[in-house]
Amino acid sequence: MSFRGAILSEEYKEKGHLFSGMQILKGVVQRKKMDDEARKLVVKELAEVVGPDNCTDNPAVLASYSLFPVVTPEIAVLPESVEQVQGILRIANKRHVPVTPLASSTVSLSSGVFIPNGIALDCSRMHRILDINTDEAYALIEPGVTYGQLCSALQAQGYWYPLGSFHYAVSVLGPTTTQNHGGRGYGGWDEVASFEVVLPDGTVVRTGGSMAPKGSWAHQYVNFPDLHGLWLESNGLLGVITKLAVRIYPKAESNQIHIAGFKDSRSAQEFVKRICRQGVARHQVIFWWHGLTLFNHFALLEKHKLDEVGTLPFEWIIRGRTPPNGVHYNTVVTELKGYREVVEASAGVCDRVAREIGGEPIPWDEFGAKNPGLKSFLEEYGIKKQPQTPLVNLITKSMGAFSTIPIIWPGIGGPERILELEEYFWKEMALKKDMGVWFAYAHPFDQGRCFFSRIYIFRFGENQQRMLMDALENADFNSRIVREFGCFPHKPPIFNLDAKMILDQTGGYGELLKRIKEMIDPNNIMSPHVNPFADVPELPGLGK
Amino acid sequence: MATLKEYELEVMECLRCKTCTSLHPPELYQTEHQLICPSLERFKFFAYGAGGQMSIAKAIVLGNLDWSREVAEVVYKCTMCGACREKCLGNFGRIQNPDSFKWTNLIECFQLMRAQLIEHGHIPGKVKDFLQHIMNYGNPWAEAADARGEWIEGTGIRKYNPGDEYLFYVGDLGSYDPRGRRVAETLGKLFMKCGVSVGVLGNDEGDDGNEVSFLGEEGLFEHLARQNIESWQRLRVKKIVTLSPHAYNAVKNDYPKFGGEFEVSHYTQILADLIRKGKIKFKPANLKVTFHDPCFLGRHNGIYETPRQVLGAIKGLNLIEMARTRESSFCCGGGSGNYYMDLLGGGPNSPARVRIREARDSGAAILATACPACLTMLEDAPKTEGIEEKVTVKDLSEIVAECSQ
Repeated sequence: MSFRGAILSEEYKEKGHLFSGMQILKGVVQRKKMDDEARKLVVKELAEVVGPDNCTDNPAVLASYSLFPVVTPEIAVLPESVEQVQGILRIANKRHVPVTPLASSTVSLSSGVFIPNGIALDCSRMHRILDINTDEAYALIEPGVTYGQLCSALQAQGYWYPLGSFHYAVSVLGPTTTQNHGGRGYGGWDEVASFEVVLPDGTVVRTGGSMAPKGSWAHQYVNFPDLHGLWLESNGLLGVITKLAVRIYPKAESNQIHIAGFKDSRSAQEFVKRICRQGVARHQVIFWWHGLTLFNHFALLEKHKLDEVGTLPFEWIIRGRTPPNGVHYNTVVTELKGYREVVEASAGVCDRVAREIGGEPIPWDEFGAKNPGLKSFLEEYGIKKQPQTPLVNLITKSMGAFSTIPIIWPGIGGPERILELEEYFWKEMALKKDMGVWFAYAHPFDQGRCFFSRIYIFRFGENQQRMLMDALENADFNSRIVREFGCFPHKPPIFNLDAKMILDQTGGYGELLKRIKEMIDPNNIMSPHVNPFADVPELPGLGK
Repeated sequence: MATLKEYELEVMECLRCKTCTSLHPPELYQTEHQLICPSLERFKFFAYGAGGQMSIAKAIVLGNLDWSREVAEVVYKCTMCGACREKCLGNFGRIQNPDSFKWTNLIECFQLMRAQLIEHGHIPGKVKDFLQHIMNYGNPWAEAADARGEWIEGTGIRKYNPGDEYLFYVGDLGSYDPRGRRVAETLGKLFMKCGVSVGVLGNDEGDDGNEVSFLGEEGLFEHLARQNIESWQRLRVKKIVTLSPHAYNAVKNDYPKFGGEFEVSHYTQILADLIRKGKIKFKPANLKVTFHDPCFLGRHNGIYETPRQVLGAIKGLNLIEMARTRESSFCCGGGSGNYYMDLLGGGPNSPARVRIREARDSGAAILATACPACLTMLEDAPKTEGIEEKVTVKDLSEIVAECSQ
């Protein structure tokens, strides 16, 4: 039986292939590698810094440093301290060898998706929680600290840190600094109070209050320009982060989840804006009915057998704009936490505001009866703060069920812009033959000043070649959504051409970033394969 | 011979998410330990974990890496403990087991990689020695075959006769390793004391082949299995009790493929049965014990409660669980022949030392196990760690023997 049989009809079961991206990578990113003599010399020098057991050029070890091992680094090194990181970077700078830093070597979001040459600087040995300060509500951690490690340590002290979409084996640093979203309690950029970074020349920089010997790591804003933003979404281009101070949150006295259904995305967005801008809730999720249905299905399959759960009729999910009878187009999940009295009152406010906008509050038990998988999942995430099943697992299982990689990735933009993007997807893409659109969910960030929308476009491929062409034809989509919709992709680009096409639209900003990069890293050793200011090879098929 | 091409879909769909090497909730929230993979704990490079091995497999399938000495150096550092198979949240493409939605063939994939390494002539020297010694001498230490039964002398334990209820299969460690011999003798005497109809084969016993199979040498494994099956069938053996979970695994799960259908038990199951029947009675004890689940008893064969029932029957024995227990047990590092080859080496991150520190932190004074390979790996760790006053390592049978009336 195929896993895809969980939702796909027979017609689509065997179609699709995950390999199409590989061929693009091979063509794009081949760069000159060191010859054997040079590599051996660098390995020897690095081994003197980190010890011979923590440095290798074994190609089998190097193969594990790319999600797509058609291109791999030339050396992998495991430092254990800031001093060792300094030593590595000084050698790399002296020898002009590229360096790509990695935090936990898991599913890499950015520069670590593939590393075409040079040194993979693997920080997973730097995995100490250096301090948990509940007075100032921050945790000081090294780059290899994972979510599981941090959540486990915080739990013992009555605190928590948002897990977000990720799972417990992933480093906190990676997703926290490489997904361009904000808001406290979400697990994004605004959780970072300060950094310690080693620059390519070995200089150590601390931001915020930590720059002063007796200053506080929790103190982000000092009376000088706040530089810590330089290393958010820097994608390994501007140095190696060796410490970060993240904001932590006390466990709430009361946790509740409020559910409300809406007939369209505009109404759902309006509800979210009214609730979070008045401080009623910190975190909300707008589920489209596709996402709700699929996540519920796969959440059930995590804990129950397929025979018990049954399959889903797939076609009406990926083609239908109109949900079935009794199903709301959007369902908003609002996480209420805090003092008991406040939570109770907030639930009442959510009910009233939802009705004012034409929505329908749904009692928790009623929601759970219709969506038992999702209810269990939300209870673990939103109430117990001890998720058993990572959200990323549901997302990737859902994607895997479509038996292809998505052509279009999620984006972040203002509320109206996201609505325009949604209309575009429905009108332009959804009705094409063999194309599918999967609307998953949207998050408000920064009190709904912008929304992150997880919407995917898929093609049910007839063959690998067709999907390769799709991927190439849409490789510039990230820059198109910036240009045409004013939305930004939610992850750092993994192709430097992609980044370049976006930055070319930004005028002075792109120019300043280029100057900063050249000043901090004049030899271009830090993650050069994602450097948008370096020479960029042409992608075949683009420019039309 | 099968190739990685048969696992292409699974290999390519590995997302390198690292859940295969990590503790999951709820244990995750109960301990400072995060890793479940002994090789990754030891070497730290991701390649040594299951996801890393899948990356290697991916690179080979894509034609970007060849079978080589360098690949062998990484692939053979896996102890085949099965933790990754237990923890993998993947299986996005093909369901191997519709009931579990887990990618159940991780271990098979790694065995296949080893088989292909052997076929291409790339195996580490110690692995080669291990296999050759077993082939030539019937044991990994190249000890004389007719020394296999020496341990029986003076114990009162007798050779198996047709008509005995159980063949007590002792295995290599029980036959040749000094520590293993003591456990085999303890157990044999316990059986006799309880009136169990049991005998051993002594010099006529052959290697069970479990490690050979997990090292990828399927041809030699089949030869060993058939040899044992033929010998046991000639002796009209119906029931077998094994000292080692490794032998239990091979006889239970693989021997039937070659016509070897026997009723096989691990010794903990026999002891549990004897206790239930009142044939073993205990005097009061005052012990704090934690149990290390052997991988081939627990994860590979699902036997978690039986050893606990045995220990639980001893009044005054306080059984303390480590956080990494049962399905999440942390491997001692001895699997896949490592009790002999020691490919993981020493150092503070060696699995045995990590595990003994965990046992000490649990508050237990005794770390009990039910596998001679685990015993071999763990026994010296307290001394290496300098904590021999705080925790000692014992086989479960020894605790039963010491506490029985």
